[in-house]
This record gives sequence, C-alpha cells and structure tokens, in this order.
Amino acid sequence: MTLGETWDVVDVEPTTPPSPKKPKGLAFRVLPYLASVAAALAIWWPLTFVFKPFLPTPWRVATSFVDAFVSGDIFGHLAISLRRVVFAWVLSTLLGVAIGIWMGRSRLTEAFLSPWVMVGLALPGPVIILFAVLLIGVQESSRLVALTVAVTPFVVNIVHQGVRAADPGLEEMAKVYRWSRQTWIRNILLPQIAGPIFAAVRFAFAFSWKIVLIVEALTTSEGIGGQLGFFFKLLRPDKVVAWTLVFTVIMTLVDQYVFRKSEERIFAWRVTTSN
Amino acid sequence: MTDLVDAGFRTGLGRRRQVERASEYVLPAVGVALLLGLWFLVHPLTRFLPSPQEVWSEGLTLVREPATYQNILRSLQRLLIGLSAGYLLAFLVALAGRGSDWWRRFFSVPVYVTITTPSLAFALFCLTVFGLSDVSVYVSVAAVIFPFVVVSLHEGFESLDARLYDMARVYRLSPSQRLRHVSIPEMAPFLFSALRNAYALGWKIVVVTEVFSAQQVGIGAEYNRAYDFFALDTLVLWVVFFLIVVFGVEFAVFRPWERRVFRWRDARSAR
Repeated sequence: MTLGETWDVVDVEPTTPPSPKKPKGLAFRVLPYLASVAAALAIWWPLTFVFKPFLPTPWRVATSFVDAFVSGDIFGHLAISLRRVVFAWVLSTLLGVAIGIWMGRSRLTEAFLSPWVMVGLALPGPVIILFAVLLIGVQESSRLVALTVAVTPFVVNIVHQGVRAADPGLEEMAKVYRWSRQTWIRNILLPQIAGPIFAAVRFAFAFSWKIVLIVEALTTSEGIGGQLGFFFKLLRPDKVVAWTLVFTVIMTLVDQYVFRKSEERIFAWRVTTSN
Repeated sequence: MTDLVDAGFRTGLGRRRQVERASEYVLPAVGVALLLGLWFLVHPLTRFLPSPQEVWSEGLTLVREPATYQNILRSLQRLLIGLSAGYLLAFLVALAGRGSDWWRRFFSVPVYVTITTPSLAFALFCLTVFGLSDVSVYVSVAAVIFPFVVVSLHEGFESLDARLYDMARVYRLSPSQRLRHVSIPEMAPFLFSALRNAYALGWKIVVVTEVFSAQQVGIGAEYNRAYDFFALDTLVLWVVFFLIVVFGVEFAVFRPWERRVFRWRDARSAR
C-alpha cells in the first residue's frame, strides 16, 4: 500500500472511474473562453477613457507588440535576459538539490539551515538585489548572485520536503538486504525523489525568469527587465505590456514544450492509475 | 497491565518528544548564532561590511524613532487592503466556479493570465495607470495573489464532502445555518492555507511596488533610501524589521487564530 505512490506497478488498484460527465458540445467548450476575452476587452476599453493618457488601448498594445518583433529591438535584450535566467536556473538547481538532499538526510544540517531557508523564502526580490549590489557592486556578477540566492531557497524547500517524505520502510529494506550505497542511491533514493527534483527544476525556471525582470529593472537597462524599467520611466505602459507579453509567451512555451515533454519521458515507467 | 505498559510507553515517548522539541528550537538558534559569530569575526577583514556594534546602535536609534513604526504600519496597511480585495475577489470567483463548469472555464482565462504575468509587470503597469499612489499597491497585490487563491480554494472546494451537504438538507438546516455549521468549518483549512500563502506572497509584491513607486513612506521606500545612501547597515536593519513583521504576524495572528478555529477538532488529530 505504502508503495502505491511511487510503484504503482506493484499494486494496481482499481480506481473509481471518473464521474461520467457527458461530453459537451464544442460551443460549450470554446464559448466560455471567448466570452471571457470579450468581457475583458469590454471592461478594458471604457476604462481607457477614464484613465485617459495612462491606460493604453488594446489597439495600442497590439501595435507595440507587433512593433517589438518588426523592429527587432527585442531580440538582443531577450538573449541577454535568457543568458541570466539559464545561469541562475542551472546554478540554483544544482545548489538547491544538493542542500535539499543534505538537509533531508541529516537532522543536524536541517536544524542549522532551516531558519536560513525560511528567511530566504520570505525575502522579497528587490532586497536581495540591493544587498548584492551594495556588497559586490553594479556588475553582472552581482545580478547573477542575486538571482541564484533568490531562487535557491525554493529549490531547497521542495527537495527537502521530498526527501523527508521518502518511505522509511524502503530504507529499512535496503538496510536488511545490506545494499551498497550505490544500489541504494540508484534504487531507493533517486526513484523516490525524482518527482520533487523535477518539480523543483521546473519551479526554478519559472521563478528565475520572473525574478530576473526585477533584478534587471533595478540595476541595468539591458535585458527585458531593464527595458521594462526604461519604458516605465518614459510612461509607455503599452510597451511595458507588449514586451512582458512577448517574454511571458516565450517562457511559457519553453515550460510547456521542454519541461512537460521531458517529464512525460522521464516518468514514462510509471503506470499512472490516478489522473 | 496493558495500562501500565501503555503509560510507560507514553512517558517514554513524551520525553523523547521533549528532547526533539528542544532540538527543534535550540539547533536553529545555534545556526543563527554561528552566522552572527562569523560576521563578528569577518567584518574587520572587509571594507564593505559594517560592524555588528554599529548596526546594533543604529538599530536602537531606529527603534526609538516614531517614523520607523509609521513606515511599517503604512506597508502593513497597504498589504491588508490589497490582500483583502484580492482574497475576496478570488473567493467569489472560486465560489462561482464551484457551481458551474461554464463559469470555471470563463474565469480560467484571467486566472491563467494573472498567474503567468511576472509581478514586476503588474507593479510597473499599475504605477503608470494609477499613478505613484497607494491604489497601485493595492491593485498589484490583489492581482498577484488572486490566481493563487482561486486555484487553492478551487482544489479545496472540489474535495468537499457531498454527504455532509445531504445531511444538512435532511436535518433541514437553513442556508445560513448550513453555511455557519457545515460549509465554513469544512472549508476552513483551505481558506486558511490560501490566506497564509497569499499573505507571504503579498508582502513581496508590496515591497516590489514600493521600491519602484518612489514613495516616501513604507518598508520598500526605506530599502530604496538605504540603497541610495549606500547604507548597508540601514538595509540590514530594515530587512530584520521586515522579517520580524512578517513572522510576527504569522506567529502572533495566524497560528493562534488557526488554533482557535480548529479547537473543535479532535485534539489528537490536531498538530
């Protein structure tokens, strides 16, 4: 029973079939979304007259969106931001997974580090970047350090909880059979924490690309975040929205296609009885 | 006989738990103390780190100044207004989605859009549209926490027990009685966990918006000022104040409140 979560192959229980909902028509499936978008526009448009010069019209945002691509301004900044995101994402994942496993395995480490992880989780992004700049100076390394420091506690938290949730029964079994450390890692530890680690990797990416904007807006005019800060000072909310949209769409596509596909592949060995 | 064994077992367990609880508080304290000690030893070797004594005396001056409390209260007020607005809105949306599939799909669009939008974009956009005022902070806090509350409340509502609802109907409880004695107690855990997560997230957005808003009062404004003057000691102190407020509310308000709300539950099942 307790194996159920990870090794569903062993005990495949008959799950209750999903409640037999009648498949509704295409109109029913698409209509709510269309209605929602229409409602959003219906609220947005009149409001542009209330906040006359400041709230851009949908049309204005759309032209800025197209303009960002046509003029090609956005690509250079996109590359700069992406480089930072990838750096912080890889480093914070490596650090976070290592620390998370260590905390989950050792009570002493857990007790020492847990208050700092809590602090790290509570600190807002701007604080970390201001600290990094005051300590290191306004340079690329301070941005990368701040990003990594901001993301790592979240990775640690997810992995740590995953390790703590590991089944002690399997642990005892490994002891009884006197498995070598290698066998234990390969067959007990990794399969159990693969899920949390993957969740952490995905979260780290999502969090990195959001925090990078704050880091850039506060310290530089290069990169998407830097440009957002620049447009903000120029009072161009239409460009703020358009560039955010471009960045968000690209990052969401990466998340959907890269992470989801690889997740499916990595966990293909699981027989899913739920979902 | 079994009673004796049971009692002995229980005291043994109690002592073990006592030791565990002690280590739960002592070891983290040692961890914090070690880092403070490291700071004490290392700061003379660097040019940029202020000495602990300097920070301590600066902290004492700040604690005596009424302006400090004004800053904290102002930020807290902004958080509470934004949080309540966003939470209430999310509650209504989750409620609407509970009854009908159509409304759930309808609201999934704004939820998806707000959940993927980075908080910086919200902050900058609101600051432009509503000006450098408190309204911008309220709106961006509400907008950022909204989708997370909807998602978690929705999951909670899904797991509600239909049989309890049937029972309430069989006993002919009035709608208000049903809400008071069946629905709210059953939903309370989800309402609470959503509120606490939204609270933690909301603080970050308050600070982000304040930092960019060029406001004069507020915790974010103090961060900005410390940064402009390259005052690392003031920055450290404001981070400490911030953490005290964040965890203070968590331990002084949320935890006791939660305990009070859940006091009717079996004492053994409560944590």
